[in-house]
Amino acid sequence: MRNAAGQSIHPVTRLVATIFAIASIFINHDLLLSCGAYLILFLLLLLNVKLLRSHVRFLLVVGLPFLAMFTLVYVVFLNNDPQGSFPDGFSFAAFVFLRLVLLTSVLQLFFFIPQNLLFATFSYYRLNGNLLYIWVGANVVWTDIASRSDQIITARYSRGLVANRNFLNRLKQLPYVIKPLLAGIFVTAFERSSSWKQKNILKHIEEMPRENFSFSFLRDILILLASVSWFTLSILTIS
Amino acid sequence: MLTSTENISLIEGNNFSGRSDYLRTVTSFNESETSDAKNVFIGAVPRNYISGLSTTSAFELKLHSKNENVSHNNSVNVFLKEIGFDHLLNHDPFKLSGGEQTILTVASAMLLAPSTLAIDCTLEQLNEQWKNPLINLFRMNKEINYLIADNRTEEYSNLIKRIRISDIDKRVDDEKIKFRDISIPDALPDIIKKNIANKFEIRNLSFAYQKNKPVLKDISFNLETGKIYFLEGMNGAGKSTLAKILTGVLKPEKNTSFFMDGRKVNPYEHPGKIFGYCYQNPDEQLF
Amino acid sequence: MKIFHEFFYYRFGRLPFSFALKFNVMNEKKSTRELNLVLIPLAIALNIGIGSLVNALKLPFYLDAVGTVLITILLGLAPGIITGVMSFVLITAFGLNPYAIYFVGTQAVIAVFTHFVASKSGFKNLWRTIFSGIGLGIVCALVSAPVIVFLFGGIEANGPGFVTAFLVKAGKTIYQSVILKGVSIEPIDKTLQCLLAVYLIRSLPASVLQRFASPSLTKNNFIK
Repeated sequence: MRNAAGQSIHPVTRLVATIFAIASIFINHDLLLSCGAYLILFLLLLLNVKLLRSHVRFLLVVGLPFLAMFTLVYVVFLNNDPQGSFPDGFSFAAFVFLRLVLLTSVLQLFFFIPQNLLFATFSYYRLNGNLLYIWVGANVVWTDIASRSDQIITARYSRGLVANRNFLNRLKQLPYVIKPLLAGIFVTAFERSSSWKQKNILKHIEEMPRENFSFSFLRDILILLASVSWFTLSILTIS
Repeated sequence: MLTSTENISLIEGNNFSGRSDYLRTVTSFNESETSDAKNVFIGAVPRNYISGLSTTSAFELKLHSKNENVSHNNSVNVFLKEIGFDHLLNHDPFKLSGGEQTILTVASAMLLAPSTLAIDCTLEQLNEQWKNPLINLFRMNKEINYLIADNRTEEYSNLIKRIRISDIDKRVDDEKIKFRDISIPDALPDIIKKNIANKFEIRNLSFAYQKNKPVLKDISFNLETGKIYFLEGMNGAGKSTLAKILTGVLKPEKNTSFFMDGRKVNPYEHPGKIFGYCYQNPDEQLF
Repeated sequence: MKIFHEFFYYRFGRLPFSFALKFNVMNEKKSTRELNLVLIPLAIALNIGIGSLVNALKLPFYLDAVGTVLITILLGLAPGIITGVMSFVLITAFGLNPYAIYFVGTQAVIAVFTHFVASKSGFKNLWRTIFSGIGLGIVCALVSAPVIVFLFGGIEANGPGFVTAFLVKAGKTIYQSVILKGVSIEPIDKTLQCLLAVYLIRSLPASVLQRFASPSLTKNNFIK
């Protein structure tokens, strides 16, 4: 994350805190601890508007429907029977939902790296060479693919090929989107790879001076302490 | 090849005469060996020449910068500021409009300081307010030879050395192409002729992608069947947005009204039935 | 394969190869590092796009490995594994499907199985493709079952999850239900994905496919 002064979390802090957080998510079996952990993570997400918006969208579009379906299955379909160490189906459904949401939140925080530190951060993690370019490329070209799909569907609308804007008609567009999308992907791949070779882009990246990390020691320590505490409490819940 | 002091050459030729092949060959674009950016080629779809490794335009420019040539970088940066590209530096390159992507790819290529920069029909996406400063920038940066293929040859008449590709001695800019009003063809079935409207009115058209940032505001105009209209505007002004609203792809704001021969209609409810749309990139609509 | 091809040909049409003619790819050299590095992220985005759309629609399929199968056949095993694993990590990181990251192992297995089957000409014709898809589905069901039982108590909150719930209600143990659900749904899903990937590859012109060096392309008659 970046604060107003343009600082970021140090890569070591980012990685270690994430490892402890993910371990805690899997070790923990206490619903209250999960709720508390989520509250703290949500407060961290509040520090950045873009991240918060993305998380709220995830909750509304993905998370809450998941909870509804879990509730339907474990409470209605399975008669709210006890599941494992949980006294009833709803507690179990809420716990699994929270675990999914916590993992997504932790990953969103981990991957929220300023653009100018993207290469430096992953180089720090010894993710060099081909894997680095693939990782960065996959993060970036997603908007390209999304905009192409949108343009293809728009082209179909504008040619009157989509009769009504109902769910079924939108679903029927899928096969008609995949073909031109794949054609576009190959065209782009051939042109872009030739352009990379011509410009020697990969050598440029290797020679590009990596940004120096500017981070707040106090904030990083607090993040590490929080993640270690969460891990410790999770271990205690086992006993 | 170039003996004059002019460093910009217009590659002339009809469509399918081989201009693209010429530019690709001259810049060794399809060679399998990695070169060191001595020659750079940019094709007609600028999106394909964006690196795909940057989430912002600023980083895309940085990725292409060779720090040794500071004065060169400065002239490109001054040009970008002059045309108002500053506010787009934090934008995702793939979310820019066609003209904006053109500027980004050309500026990025120039930052590499190649000896030859070939631009294949990409500059057609730029309006005059951006194209003229860009050509001036090309003239200032004399260390780069620019090879430009463009179907709008009349826009380069005073500036550039020409290289003809086609053997056919027919200069496109010698002919004045006159647009005549289109009459409804007799071959069309009667049922279609009956349903062709004579007049289309648009009243108070407003649209915004984001709240408080209107792209179009209270636009009203009339269109008559059989006439050809040119929609002029700067890159990013909202021309494509207007076309998408008329075609029914985007939904305008509530106080917008459309009338076809006096009858109120709603293109959004019947997309593609009232207006048709031909896209900038035909690959997106060939299916 | 002919009937299948004709069905899809007349229903959906053939991918145009005008772009191949336009860009004169006939004399291109084989697939290079740059081509691989550009194509793999695009295939990852394809996986993400189709998979998240199907997930959002709560369909009883996944369709999230088309890009993995495509890349494994075109570029080989390692690129296929990278495509599959990174797709699922990013799907979760983008908040599109919180489940996905748990099944990165399954994506790796898809790439390995596809590579093995492609090396044995498993996509040579329609029937071989269908049997390969069924086999892939069974393998994926067996690999995913422990993950589903351990992490979700056996029931995912999606279309296939209801099938498991129904089987548990019918008296099966949780492991039996998960495996039975997997074996009933995964072969259909994976067969669809294999058919779609093979159809897309067969739609590409030979001049495009010749840019890729994978021996699977000749073994499966993608390049004659």
